[in-house]
Amino acid sequence: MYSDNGKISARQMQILLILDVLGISIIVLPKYNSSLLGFDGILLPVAGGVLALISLFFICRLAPFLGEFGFFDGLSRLIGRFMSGLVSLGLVFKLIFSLGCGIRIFSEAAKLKFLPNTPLWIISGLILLPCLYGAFKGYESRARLGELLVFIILIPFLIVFVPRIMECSFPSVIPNINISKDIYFKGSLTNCFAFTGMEFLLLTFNHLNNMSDIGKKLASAFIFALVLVFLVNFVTISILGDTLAASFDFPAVDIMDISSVSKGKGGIMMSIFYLSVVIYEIGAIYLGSGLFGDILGKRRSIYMYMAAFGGYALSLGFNDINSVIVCFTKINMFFGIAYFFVLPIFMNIIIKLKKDDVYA
Amino acid sequence: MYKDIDKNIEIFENMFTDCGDLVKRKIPVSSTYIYVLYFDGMNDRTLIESRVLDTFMLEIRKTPPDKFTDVTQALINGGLTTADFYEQTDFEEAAVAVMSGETLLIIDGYDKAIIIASKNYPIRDIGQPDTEGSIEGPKEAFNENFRDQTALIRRRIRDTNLKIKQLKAGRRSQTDIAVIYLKDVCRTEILEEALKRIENIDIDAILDSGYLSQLISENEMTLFPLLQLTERPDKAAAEILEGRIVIAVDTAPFVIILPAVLPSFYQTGEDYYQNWQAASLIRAVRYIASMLALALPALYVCFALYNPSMVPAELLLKMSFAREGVPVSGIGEIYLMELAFEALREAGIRMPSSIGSTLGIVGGIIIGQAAVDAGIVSPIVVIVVSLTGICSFAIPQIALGSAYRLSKYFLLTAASLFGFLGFWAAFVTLLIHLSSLKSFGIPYLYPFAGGDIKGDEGIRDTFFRLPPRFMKKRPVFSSDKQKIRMKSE
Repeated sequence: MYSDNGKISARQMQILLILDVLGISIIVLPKYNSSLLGFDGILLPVAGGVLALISLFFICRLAPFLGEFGFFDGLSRLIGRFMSGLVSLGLVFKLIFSLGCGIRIFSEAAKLKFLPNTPLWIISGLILLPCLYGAFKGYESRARLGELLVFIILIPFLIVFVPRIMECSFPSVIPNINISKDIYFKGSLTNCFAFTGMEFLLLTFNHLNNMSDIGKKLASAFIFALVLVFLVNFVTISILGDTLAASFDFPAVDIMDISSVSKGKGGIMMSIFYLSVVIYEIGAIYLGSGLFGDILGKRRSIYMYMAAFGGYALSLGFNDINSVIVCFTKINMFFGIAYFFVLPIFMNIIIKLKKDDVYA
Repeated sequence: MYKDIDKNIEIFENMFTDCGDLVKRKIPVSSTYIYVLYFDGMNDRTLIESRVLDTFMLEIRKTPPDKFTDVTQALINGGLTTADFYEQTDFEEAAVAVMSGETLLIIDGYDKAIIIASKNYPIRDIGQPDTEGSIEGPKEAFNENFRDQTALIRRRIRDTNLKIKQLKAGRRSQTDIAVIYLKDVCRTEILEEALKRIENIDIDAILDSGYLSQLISENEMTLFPLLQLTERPDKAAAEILEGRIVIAVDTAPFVIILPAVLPSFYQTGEDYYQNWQAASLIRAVRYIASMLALALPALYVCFALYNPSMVPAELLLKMSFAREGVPVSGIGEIYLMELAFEALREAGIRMPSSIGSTLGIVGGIIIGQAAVDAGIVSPIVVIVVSLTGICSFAIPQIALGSAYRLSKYFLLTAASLFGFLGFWAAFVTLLIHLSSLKSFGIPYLYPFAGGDIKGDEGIRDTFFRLPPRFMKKRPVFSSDKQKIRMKSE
């Protein structure tokens, strides 16, 4: 048959990376960055992006190895099944946690903009159901969905959001270089780890049908996504100002509603966010449940229900949007360092040292 | 078959007990007997009785009984004045041939039956296409006759690589099925899969190509057609030239084309007969119309009832004034009008064509206007529902139009319950479903999704139809060795 089920092309992987990175970061970062550094927060996505590119470099070097063995089995070859199981379980937790946070963040936004009188649990369920359906349809289907959604997301984005650059006050956003390097570093790391979906790469190289130049291709896709994230962050903070951007829950949506030029277009921005969140959530359910199945020795559909329900329960466990973002930032900081940097570097070193043994 | 003619006759007569339309006769010829069997009305009686039997009996009379050993040779030497006959030793097979309109001939002392091709059932002439009409291009449509279907395609592709593989399906109907393809252009794996699926069918009857298309489809639960039907021989031939496979079914005026991807349902034969600019415009209109047919009522509900702030103020005011005094809720109005439109459409199809058009005018204009004047519905809803209906007719394939029509209610219900969020959730679910579909291994959304193939030109024949020199390659359906359809100058 022409189509090999479960395999995706490099182009599809690029698109998925763009959508996964955009998903939560464009909702969360403008508020976080302006709270942390005021106008200087404008540059944080760039600094975070540089760190993410370093992580991407190490992750992509693992592509041939992970493509051949998969994450759990590959890691088992390096550190044994027990340790591999523990590390994989941590990654499953990170995925489900991000899933829960993503659902809650978007549910809050949807409640605010679309359905103020509808209970949050219904909104969260409504967001989750298509994602669960998408996860059941498999990874190849997710990749094809990404190919469609990237146009549905980017075209309105370019039409509606980009023209607002003209309203930016450039002199007011000149960076202040006297800010503490520690705060800048912390902010950069937070931005780096908010680029959710990077960790998906560890789990998806075995779905890839062609590895050639995958590092360059993924880097170019990531830079494209980074430009968009920077743009959203820059436009939002410079138009709203740092104080207002920090006080709004979803400043990137709100700037569309408070200008006479784009009045009422907040719904369009919400739609864009929704579509990229959906792609991310499908990946989290599919890959999280798949990895859990690998740890237990067999992939089962019940694990998808468990992953979805786990994410759903987590999403309802937070008090409000601020507690979600605080928790998301803290947990991401720990797991981000572990899975974005420590693990890929460690795996690269072990593979280098035990090359003959691990491929045997 | 036995050498004893009476034994053979007994078996056939037992098989065909109480068949009033059966013509059977044991005829003494010289020193032997022959037995003729056929169904009245299913074959060419003149051919059999005046030409075949006549000359055959003469030949037998001329042959001395001691030389009457090799009947087939005698027939070939001039006994049968037809080239199309064969021998059969199996009773069941012979009976199926008779039921298919052939004539059975048994000769005493000979242990094989002779089947003479004499099919001639009542059939409709080649007419004009009813559902795929065109201004330019051929006006022929397939009829229900299997052989006419294959002939209309063979006439258009005079290539020795055009193969017509004949099969039968249906335990009781024994329906003739022809799998038609270009041997060197089609993908072997798709052909093998199609043949396997047809051979695996175990059903009592195949009465139409619609039966077959459901039975060989990958996913019978989906609303979306995974195989294409056409009544146009020119379209069928064009698809064969692109590497696709056509399946003709006896008694069905539509042939099946496989594999089918979503954009192929937007293509019509006429798109390629007129200049590319006009064809592209029409193609783009079809895509836009299908999106409106799918989403317009749901979007109306979202904008008008849930998020009016997204509507320009002037339009919002007009909509509010139009709804003033309407006793039904906005959502109720939409459902009411959609229901009325569905009823009107169904009634229009069942009515004779002369009354059907009158019904359309009465229903669409008079009742619609009266409903607005009476204040039961607002004019904007009438516009939305009418525009949706008109757009659904702009989709060239009925099966796809029906899929969009049903999906429209899914979006509308979700939008009615949860506004924009419901709309997007339903829309994404629909996209996920479409993304997961495949037709014989080809992603259904190719080339929009899953079309990441080096050098592929499929996208050039989707939203727009580019000039032929930009479409030199065959699409994904064709074999990798036969990608070039138009050579460079």
